[in-house]
Amino acid sequence: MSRLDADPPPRLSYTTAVDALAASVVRAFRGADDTYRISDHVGLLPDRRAELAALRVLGVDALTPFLVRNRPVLADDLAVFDEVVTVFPSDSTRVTTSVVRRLRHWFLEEVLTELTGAGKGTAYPRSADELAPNDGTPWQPWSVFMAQVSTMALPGWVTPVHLAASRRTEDLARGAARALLRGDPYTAARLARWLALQPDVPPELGLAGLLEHVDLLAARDPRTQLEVAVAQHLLEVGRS
Amino acid sequence: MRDALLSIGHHVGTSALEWLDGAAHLFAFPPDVPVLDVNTNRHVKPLAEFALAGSIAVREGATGSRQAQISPVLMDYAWNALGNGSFLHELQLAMPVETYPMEIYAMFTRAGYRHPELEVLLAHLGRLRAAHARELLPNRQLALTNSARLIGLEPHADEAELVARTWLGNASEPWALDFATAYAMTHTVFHLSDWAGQPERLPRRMVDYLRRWLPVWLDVYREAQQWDLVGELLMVDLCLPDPEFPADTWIAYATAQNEDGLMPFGSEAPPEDTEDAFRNYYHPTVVAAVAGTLLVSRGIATLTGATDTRETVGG
Repeated sequence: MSRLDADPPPRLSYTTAVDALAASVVRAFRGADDTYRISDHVGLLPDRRAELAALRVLGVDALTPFLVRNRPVLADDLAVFDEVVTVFPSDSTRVTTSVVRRLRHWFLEEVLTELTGAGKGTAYPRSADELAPNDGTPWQPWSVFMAQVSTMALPGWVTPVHLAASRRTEDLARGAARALLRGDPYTAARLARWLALQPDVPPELGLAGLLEHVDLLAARDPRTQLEVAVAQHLLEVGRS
Repeated sequence: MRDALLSIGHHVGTSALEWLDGAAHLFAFPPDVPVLDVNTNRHVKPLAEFALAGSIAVREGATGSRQAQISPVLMDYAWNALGNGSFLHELQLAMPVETYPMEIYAMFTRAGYRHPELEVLLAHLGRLRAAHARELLPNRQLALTNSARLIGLEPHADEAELVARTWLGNASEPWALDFATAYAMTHTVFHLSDWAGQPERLPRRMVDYLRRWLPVWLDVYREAQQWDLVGELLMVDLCLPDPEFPADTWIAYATAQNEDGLMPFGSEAPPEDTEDAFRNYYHPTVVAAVAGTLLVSRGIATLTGATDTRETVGG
């Protein structure tokens, strides 16, 4: 058997699935796709597990077209997530699970609860309060943490993370500039998404220009483009 | 922490000055080069930087007994190498639009050296239309206005107008920066504030901008181990009316310095032989001499300003 006949390694097909899903979210934001459906993204690839993994990885980001772009959500779109959490269950109860994973999982559950209209949701994880970087954390590691939870950078939420973002706008801006200078447009885009929610962004940063720049840098990276698309939309909504 | 920082500044500055002292013969002009064959970048720039380090150490005075001892010797040596200024005079006569003679001379005036004939020549050249239409970047032109101010001549251009044309004066996007632009930015600050001599000359808006973004550049270039630029960025902090004195960066910077005082340019280890190291490493070492000197003098000023107990400072 030649190597070419072998199945691609799972990491590769997972990456492909994540990129395909992210690209589709980007299209939903940029107007070319009026019929964004999460259910369309399951059963398309030969590897269903990879598709579910993509939803686990993007989490709430896969729902952003419904949340901020007001695309209509159908029951099918949300039902898929039942399968996602069954195949890839949360490891939030494990001690070793990072605060980033805990927060991302909690936020996904909150958003799904809100979209399905089922119940009140769960309390903000206390472990996150204890483990997350706080106001005493220097701006560099703090901004890296904020980039890792950029999926939470959506309007209308008031959590300790959102409050910290509004208290430390200057540090978000420093983090974004630092990321770009270090050749890390993905982190820059994720911090720009937090900044797009703040009313007091340092004008010198040139947030709109930074987003355009990152978009051009990351023309082949759908995950970075997703962050840019959400941020640009938030910025536009905030302006109008 | 302030006390520990002062001793870091003292060590960085003094050992760098000692390296410069040991390498002084390499900075001198080759005596057999005719004035018209002088290559400014090759022959003149090193001595200009050398004189800068010496003149700042002389200006800042008692930043340490060893420094106070070396710096006038360095300046005397450099002034002699320039024929007590007459070489600068000859050079300027031969090259009327060349700017180095005036810039170098200004450093010596900072330390009290004068050459009246050169001053007559500079005043004359300053009245030419050519002096007001220089084909130079705005941050380089600020070097000339600062030099003119030090010598006591009329500046050739309005500084506020020059500042408005610089990258820094435009409050540019802090991420739209490269190596060369970073150097241009630092020199806008150095010339405007006369190397921390007059921090109050920096416009308020520029100070606010630097306070916000300097930590980002310090972080990025420290991580990249670009010590020459890190030294310059640390100096920018010392040019602000109220420096931050970033301790972590100072410690990393001091740690990068060789035992003999030589400062590496980047992460690559410099050659051991002084003569081999000279061409590529004299610049970061000059920067270390100036940065260390200013850390001590501005650190002491901050301490005395804050506590007003002068007697306790020297101890």
